[in-house]
Amino acid sequence: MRSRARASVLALILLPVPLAGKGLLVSPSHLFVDADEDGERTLVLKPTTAEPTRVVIGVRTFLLDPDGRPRLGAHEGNRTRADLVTIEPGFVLLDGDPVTVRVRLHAPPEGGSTWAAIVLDVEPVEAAGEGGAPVAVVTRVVVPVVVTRRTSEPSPLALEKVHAREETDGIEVTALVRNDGPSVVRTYAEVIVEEPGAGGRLEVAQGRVPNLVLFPGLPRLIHAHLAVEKSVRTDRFVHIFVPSGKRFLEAEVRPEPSSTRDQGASSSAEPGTNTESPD
Amino acid sequence: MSRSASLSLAALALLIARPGYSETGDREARAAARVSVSIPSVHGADVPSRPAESGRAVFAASRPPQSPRLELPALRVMSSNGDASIQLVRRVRDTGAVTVASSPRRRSQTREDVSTASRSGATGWTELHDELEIPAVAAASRGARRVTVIYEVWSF
Repeated sequence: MRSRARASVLALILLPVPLAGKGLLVSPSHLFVDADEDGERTLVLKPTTAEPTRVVIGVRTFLLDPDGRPRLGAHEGNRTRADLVTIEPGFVLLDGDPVTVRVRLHAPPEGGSTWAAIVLDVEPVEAAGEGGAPVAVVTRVVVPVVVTRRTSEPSPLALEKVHAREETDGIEVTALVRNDGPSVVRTYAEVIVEEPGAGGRLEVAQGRVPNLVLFPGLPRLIHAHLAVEKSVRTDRFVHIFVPSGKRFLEAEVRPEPSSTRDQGASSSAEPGTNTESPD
Repeated sequence: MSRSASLSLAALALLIARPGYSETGDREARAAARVSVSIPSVHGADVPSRPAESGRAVFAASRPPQSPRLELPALRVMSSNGDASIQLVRRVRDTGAVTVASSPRRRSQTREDVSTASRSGATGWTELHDELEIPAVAAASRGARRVTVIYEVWSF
C-alpha cells in the first residue's frame, strides 16, 4: 500500500500536469455606447469555480491590425485613450458569486468615437511544466469599450485592393476597407460569385463576413473563401459590397487563375464607390 | 523496496524534474523543455447584465443589448527543443488571441524575449485544428526563469 502511494507521488513528480487557468465570466463582453455626457455602465463578473478568485482590472489603449487582431497598449492617440474609462482596480470573487462593477465612461470632447479596453486579469495559476520550469497561466478577458458622440456627417468608407483568385476548392477574395470618418462603424461584407447565364447573371456562390468593426484610420482586410467548383470559364465575376447606413460600397472583379498569380497577373477592382441604397 | 532505495529513487526523480536553469543565470541551460498548458473553462459572457441606474443612464446603447457567448478553446501550449505550437481544438466565435511571454530575466531583457502569436479572421475564429508557432516559448525556454502563458480573449 505504502509503495503504491510512493509510486503515485513519483508519477506526479515525473509527469507534466496540464495547467489550468481560472475561468471568468464577464457580461457584457463589449460596450459600444452613444454618449453626449459622462455616464455609467456595469460589468458583471462571475468566477467559474467557488474558490476565491482575485481579478486585477486595468484600462489600456488598443488598436486593431489589418487582420482584425487587437493589440493592447503603446497606441496612445487622440481616439484611443485610457482615461476614457474609470473602474475599480480589482476584486476578489468568493463562493462563485457574481460581482457587479461600476464603469464610469467619460464622453469624448469632440464628435466621433473614442475607445479603450478594460483588461481583467485573473490571478495566475502557478505550476511547473515538464522539467520543472515554472509556468504561470493567466486568464485575461478584455472588454472593448467604444464611446461615440454622434455627428451629422456619415462615416465615409472606402473599399480598395479587391482581389479574387481561383483555387482548386473555390475562390479566395480579399479586400481592404478604410474608415475615413471619425466614428467606429459596425457592418458586414457580402461577397457573391456570378456568371452569365440565360436571362442575365446567375449567382453561383455567396458568402458573408459578419461583424465587421471598422475603426477610424485603421484599414481592415477582408478575407472570404467561396466554395465553388473550379471552372474553365473566364467570365465569372466576384461582387463585394459593404453596407454603411443608407449607403453601401461595392466593387466587382474577375477572379484570376491561381497559376498566373506568381507571374504578376492581377485582378483587382478600382476603388469602390459609395452608392445610394435602393432601400 | 527498501526505504533507502525508495529515497534514492525519489531523489533521482527530483533531479530529473528540477528546473534546467541555475540560480546563477546559466543562459545555456534549458528550462521548460516542454510546457503543456490547458485552459478548459473560460467564457466571455453569459451573465445577465444589470441596466444602469435610473437617472444616470445618460448613455444610450448604440445597438440592442447583446451578450454573445464565447465558446473558447481548450488551449495547449507545447514546447520541445525550441519548437512551439498552440493547438486550438474547439469552436470559438469573435476574436481570440493567445499570448505567450516570458518574464524578463534582467531589466535590460525586454521586448526581444516577448512575442505574440495569434490568429483571427474577418469572421472571427472558426473551427481550428491547426497550430500556431510561438517563438516566445522557445525564447522563454532558453533563458527565462519563468514562463507566463496569457490566454487573452476579446469580443467585439
